[in-house]
Formats: sequence, C-alpha cells, structure tokens
Amino acid sequence: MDRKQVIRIGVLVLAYVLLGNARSIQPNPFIPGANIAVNMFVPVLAGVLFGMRAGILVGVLGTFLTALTPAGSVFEWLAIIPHGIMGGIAGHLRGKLPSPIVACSLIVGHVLNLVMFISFNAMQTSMLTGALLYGLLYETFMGVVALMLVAGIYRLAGGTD
Amino acid sequence: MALSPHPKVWQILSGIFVVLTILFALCYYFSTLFVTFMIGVALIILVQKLKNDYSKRMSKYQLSKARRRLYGGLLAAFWIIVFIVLFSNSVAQMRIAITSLSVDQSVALAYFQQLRAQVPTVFVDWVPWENLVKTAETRFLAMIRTVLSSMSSIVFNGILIIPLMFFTYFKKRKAIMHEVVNSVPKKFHASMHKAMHAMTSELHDFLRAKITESVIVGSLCCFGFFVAGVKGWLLLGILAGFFNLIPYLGPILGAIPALLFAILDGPTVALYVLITLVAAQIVDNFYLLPFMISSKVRMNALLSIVLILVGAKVLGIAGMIFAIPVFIVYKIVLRDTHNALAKIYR
Repeated sequence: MDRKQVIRIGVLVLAYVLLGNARSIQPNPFIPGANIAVNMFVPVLAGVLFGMRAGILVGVLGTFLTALTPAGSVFEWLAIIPHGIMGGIAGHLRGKLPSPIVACSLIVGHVLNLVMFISFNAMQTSMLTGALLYGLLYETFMGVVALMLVAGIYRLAGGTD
Repeated sequence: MALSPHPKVWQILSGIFVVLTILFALCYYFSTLFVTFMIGVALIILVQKLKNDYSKRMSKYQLSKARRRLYGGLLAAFWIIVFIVLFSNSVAQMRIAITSLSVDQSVALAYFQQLRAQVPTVFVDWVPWENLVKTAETRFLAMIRTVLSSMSSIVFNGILIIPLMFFTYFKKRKAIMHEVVNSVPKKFHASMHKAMHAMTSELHDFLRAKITESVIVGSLCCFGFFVAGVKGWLLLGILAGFFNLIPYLGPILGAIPALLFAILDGPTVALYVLITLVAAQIVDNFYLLPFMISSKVRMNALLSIVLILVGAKVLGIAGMIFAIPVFIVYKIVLRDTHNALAKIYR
C-alpha cells in the first residue's frame, strides 16, 4: 500500500469519525428515537473510489474508532464487521457496475447490522416492522445521494480513482 | 518575438489598448450585468466539465445517444431537486436562528454587560465602545442592504441572461467564432484565430482552476459546518466557497457570516467553525494553490500578486477578482496584434 493510499484511507477514517459525532444529525422520520447514520456511506465511498482494501479498512477502522468516541454505543461495536464487509463489497463491484448501483451496497450494510444486533440481543425481532424497513430505505437513499455528491466533487477536483 | 521599431505598429496598439480599456470601463459601469455574465461563464465551464465526465463514464455502456441524454437529463433534474430541498432547509434553519436571536437579545445584552465589567476601566474609558458598536452596526446593516440589493438584481438578470448564454454557447459557439474571425481583413484571419484560441484556452484554464478551488473550499466548509452543527450549514458553506474567489480578503468575508451564526449557538460551535475555516484555508494555500491551481494558470506568482494589488487599488474587490482575467485578455490581444502587425510593417 503506497503513501497516497494510506493518506486517502486516513482522511476517510477521520471523515467517518467526525460525521459519526456530527451535531447536525437529523432524526430518521420513520424510526422513532433513531438518527440517520450519515457516516455509513463513507466505507462505501472508499470502496467505490479506491477499491476493496480501502473500503474494508475504512469500514472496520472508522467504526472501531467511532465506537471509542462519545457517540459510540453497543450498536457501533456490533457494526464493525458489517461495515467492513459493506465497504469490501462496494470495492469489489467498483468498475463492474455504475456507481449509484454500487452505492446500494449500503443495504447490505444495514441488513448485516440488523443480523448482528438481533444475534447479540441488542435489538428484538419484534422491532422488524414496516416502519423500520422504510427508515432503512430512506437512510440508504440519503447515503446514495451523499456518496454521489462527494464522489462527483472529488472527480471534479481532478481526483483519481 | 522582438519588439517592432515601426511607429505605425505602436499607434495601432495604443488604439487597441484604449478601446479595450473603454470596454472594461463599460463593464465596470454596468457591473451588475458584468457579474451576471461572469457567473454565466462560470456555470457554463462547470456544466461543460460535468458533461465531459458524464460522456466519458457513459461511453463504457453501449447506450444510444437518446438514452444517454435521457439519463443525463434525469440525473440533472434529480440533483437540482436535491439542491433545492437542501438549500430551502438551510434557509429555514437560518431564519429560525435569526428569529430566536431577537428573543435572546436581552440575554446577549446582559452577557455583554457582564463581559464589559471584566475589562479594566482604563481600557473601557479609552475605547468609545458605544460609538464603535453603533458605527459597526450601521455599516454592517448598510453593507447587508447593498449586498442584498445587488444580489437581487444579479438573480433577476441571471434568470434572463444565463439560459440564453447556455443556448448560445452549446448551439452557436462555432458560428459566432467564425463570424468574429471573418470580421477582420483576410490577412489577419490566422492571427485572429490563434489569438481567440489562446485567449479562450487561458481564460478557461484560469476560471476552471478558480471554480475548482471554490468548490473544494466550499465543500470542506459545508462538511465542517455540518459536523459543528451550525444552522444553515449548506448556505454558509456555499458562501464561504464563493467568497474564496476574492483573493486575500475573500476567506475573511466568507468567515464572517458563518462565525456570526455559530456564535448564536454557543462558543463551542464557534470554535469548531473557526477550526473548519482555518483547515479549509490550510488545504487551499498548501495543497490547492501550489499543486492544482499554479500548474493550470500559466502566470508568475509575483506578477499575479502585483496585478491583484493594482486591481484592488483601482477598483476595490471587483478589481481583485477580475485583475488576472483582464490581464490575460490584454496580454493576448496586444501580443498577437503586435506579432501580426510586425510581420506587415517591417
């Protein structure tokens, strides 16, 4: 891994942690008591722009470091592996499918999160309602929009994939 | 090419110099219209770049031209809607913040009195605080009124002019260039063509570099303000990026609205905003300017500083922004005219 790649991953991990602790986080209108996880698109962005290794590292390191911050909770600890897998899938599909389709690997992240939360009793299966599904689709949509915007600005600035 | 000793060459060049100066003076006189025109040019460059990137990406998939245009149109409509939603959300947040300010005014006044009581009496007596606050308030409100009135005429002019500019550029560009070249005697066609190509190329590179710089600085500010929790983060970030176009003074002007709104939320938020602004300027001055901008803008750094200072002295902020593009136009027109005339008047 060259120095450029290390810097890119470092910057994205920092962005992930900062967004996880952002003060402007909006509540999810479909899931009472839950906020929109705006930082979830960052591992996918890393995968889309820089490949599978970057996606996995940003997902794992970013989630791990966020779990250590004041915004961290048990959900953050359980999300480490799912976010790494999500970033890896995005990196694997990079170049094979259009970026908006690759960005939908956010859904994979959400599904894996639910599996981990339920497996470790952080969430009850009775909470798997239609409202939760709409909420996760809404978050996926917001994540795809944010990813396309940031990737577009990165490419406009002359950034190389 | 060596300078020509023939007096006729210099007579013609002087005439051209006077004509160009009158043209730019007219542009300054109709400044609102000129600023609208320049915003139109900036938008055209941005759209051209996005169009080229989109074409490059879509070339991988075997799609018909009609389908590519349809997807491009849908994508453009989608982003316009997203921008309108985010922008109106930002404006609503700022309106709430301003409304709550009047409610908190008495608290702010009491806080200010408390702060003033901490300052040593000698310093309090030496500085005419009341006059200072009144003058600052009057000047600030006058500046806001001027800016808002200019902005509303720019927006009105923009709605009329910018769509026509887009149509002219994307449909009639080559025809117009052809007309301009044919307007001079035939012996000057080659030189005219070369000069126009050089001018558009250099101006395009310069404007594209400045727009890229502004977009990156604006994006960094939007990100930082979002993390800090500033109300109206999108609009304030865009303003910070827009003001970054103004050399030297721009970052300070862009910081003022963001800091004012951040102070309403508390000193911690104001500190995060300050950190964001400093970080954006560090990225701008240590990465963007040396590695990205300087390689595209073919100009000596000392010369660019001198031009900006001269522009500031002559025309204020407008002079600072347009000093370099105006210099590029003068340079190319006078240089290529001299080269063409020197061949004729040996």
